[in-house]
Amino acid sequence: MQNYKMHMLVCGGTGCKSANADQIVLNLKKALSECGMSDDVSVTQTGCFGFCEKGPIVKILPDNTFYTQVKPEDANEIVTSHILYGRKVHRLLYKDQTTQEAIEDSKHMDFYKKQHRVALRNCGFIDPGNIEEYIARDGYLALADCITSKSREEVIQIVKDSGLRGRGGAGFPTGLKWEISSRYDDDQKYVVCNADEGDPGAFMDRSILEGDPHAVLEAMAICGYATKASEGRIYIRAEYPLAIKRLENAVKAAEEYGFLGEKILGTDFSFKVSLTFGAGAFVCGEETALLRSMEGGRGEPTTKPPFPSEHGLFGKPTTINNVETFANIPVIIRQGAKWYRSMGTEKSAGTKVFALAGKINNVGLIEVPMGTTLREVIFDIGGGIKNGKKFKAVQTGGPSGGCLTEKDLDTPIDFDNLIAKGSMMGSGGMIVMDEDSCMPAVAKFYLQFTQEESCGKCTPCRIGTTRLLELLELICNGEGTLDSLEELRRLSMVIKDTALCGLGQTAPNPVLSTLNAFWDEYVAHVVEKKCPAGVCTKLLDYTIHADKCKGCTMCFRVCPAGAITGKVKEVHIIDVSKCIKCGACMDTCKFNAITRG
Amino acid sequence: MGVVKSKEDLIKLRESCRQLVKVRVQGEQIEDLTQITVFMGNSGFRSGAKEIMNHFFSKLQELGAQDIVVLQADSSGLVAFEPLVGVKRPGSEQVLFGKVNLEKADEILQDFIINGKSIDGILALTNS
Repeated sequence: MQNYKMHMLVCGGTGCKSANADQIVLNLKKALSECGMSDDVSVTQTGCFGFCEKGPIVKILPDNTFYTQVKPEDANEIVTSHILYGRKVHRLLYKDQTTQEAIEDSKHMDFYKKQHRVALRNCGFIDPGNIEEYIARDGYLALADCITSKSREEVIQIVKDSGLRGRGGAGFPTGLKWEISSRYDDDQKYVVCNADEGDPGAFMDRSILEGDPHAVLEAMAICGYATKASEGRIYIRAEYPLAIKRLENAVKAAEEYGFLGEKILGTDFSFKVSLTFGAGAFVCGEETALLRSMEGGRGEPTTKPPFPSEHGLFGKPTTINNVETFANIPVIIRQGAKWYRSMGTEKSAGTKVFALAGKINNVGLIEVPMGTTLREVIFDIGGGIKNGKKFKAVQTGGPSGGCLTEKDLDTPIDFDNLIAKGSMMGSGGMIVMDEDSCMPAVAKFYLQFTQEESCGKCTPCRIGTTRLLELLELICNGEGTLDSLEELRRLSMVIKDTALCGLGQTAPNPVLSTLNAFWDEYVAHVVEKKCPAGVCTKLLDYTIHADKCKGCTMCFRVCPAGAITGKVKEVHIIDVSKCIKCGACMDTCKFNAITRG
Repeated sequence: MGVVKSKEDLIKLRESCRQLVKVRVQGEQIEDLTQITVFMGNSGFRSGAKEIMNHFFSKLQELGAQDIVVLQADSSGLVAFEPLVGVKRPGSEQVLFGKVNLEKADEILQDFIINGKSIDGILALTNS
């Protein structure tokens, strides 16, 4: 085996790959071979490092140097300077946001300091395409422990004691789910991994599958052992081609090494895993719809009970867990329930992965213990709001969740606290909004998504979300009244109470939570016909103030609609009927003579 | 690689696989390791520091030592003392050795680091 003196890790997540990470790998290898150092230094493509904002990332070990926003043409300098002479490439080092000092050791970066990576333990550390690197990290040992020296009941008990709750959104206790499934006997039982991640802005499942696919396979086999199932299926959306490729390779490697297949590790336990591709419908993340889709039918939910544990895939008992839930299982088995419980809060043990997106400085993937506050996540790890703007709200739980505001920032994040605040954990997407975001418009955005993704099976969701969207459009167009707001609230409650599945039941959440937290903003839209954030174009009008206008003609020249008239050194005028409210005039005016109202 | 037939085989396989990620694990635990830093830069390189560094690598490989890591740094500016080597034990200050040759490197590793003896040649300054 080759003894490398240094390792270079290049992020191979979807984000960094789209920013030319593959070329960086090639260039690094080429530069190393030109210096005759190919035998001393290895170049490995790993999964996501999480710091997507500053990608592509190149990390050098053992000295933990963290290079950000690396371009393929930087490869030569990294090799000739850092590898050959030990001189770090200063301009590529991560700079601390407040002090602007370059940080040499990634362990000292604020982004990583408060993180605790359990589900992401191997992401950005191992080569997901090399099963031996996973084995080096105790891979498949948890499975070996379970099938050689633990009874099914013991395995279930460990998972139950750990307090692990489903990471897909609902937070159902995983151990309990396994226990219920194990009670039903049948000639064929299934384990299903729900990898149909569909929330806008969420990419934790994708990153786990891309960065550590074996962890999910191992956990599925453990679940198969505990629930007496012999077949596992992963339902993954075809929109995740890289995750699919890495999973397929992982399944193949696991079969070659005998971790999947017949008589695993010389025991009587047999388990196989296959992949089913989804077409990217949001509703298929709902477990009953997912099962129908896997069976080849339309992805439409059915009423529960019967629950999948009893009557699941092809009518057989089926245990369905989310990717991140599975990724926690091998560590829990290895380190014990007590260890897992030592992290997080009493009712929500362990850690949670969040995808930070929106108007936040450090867009990326993070993992923190449950009970960390929103403030720590958004300001300490996330680095605060972009361009020094003011924080306004954060949407947790994707289109099914709700908005949390300034007053909720010190709430410790866990399943129950978020629900109590009118939002939910969901799969862990966090979209941060600043003072320039208009909340009725945000609610409209989410409703557009859920309305489009509604499968149409039940009336409350099919027609209800359409009506909600119409109301929101009225409000954003300045045609709403106070009655529209009441109607919005009433209809939301009806949909919540009557829709068939989780999609419909939670679709009104963004509306209700923004109505509660930003009532004044809605009122401004319907009574004063104003959009305080300046987003809803129908409610904006631009005015040139005669006392400040110098007649410089700048606005006249930038106006794309020809709506501005005026001569040099004379006051300009906007023709409201022609104005398309793009704001170009206001941006260009040097005398602050144009205001938006 | 054939099929892994038992848990014992898996544990054996893990031991050999650990070599694949050893350098990365060292990086993860760097504060708990004894760090040997070889100062390089153009001047260190010319003075033969690369050979000293490679010597440390191969010695550590022979010994199979897990808790000692070899790092490389830019020239410290003490060009007259190069090849310059720093040793930092967990939780303590770095000490420097100047004009290190292969024999001195062995002495640093065997006597100073592994056996914990005090040896000659420590420069009367610290590199903080």
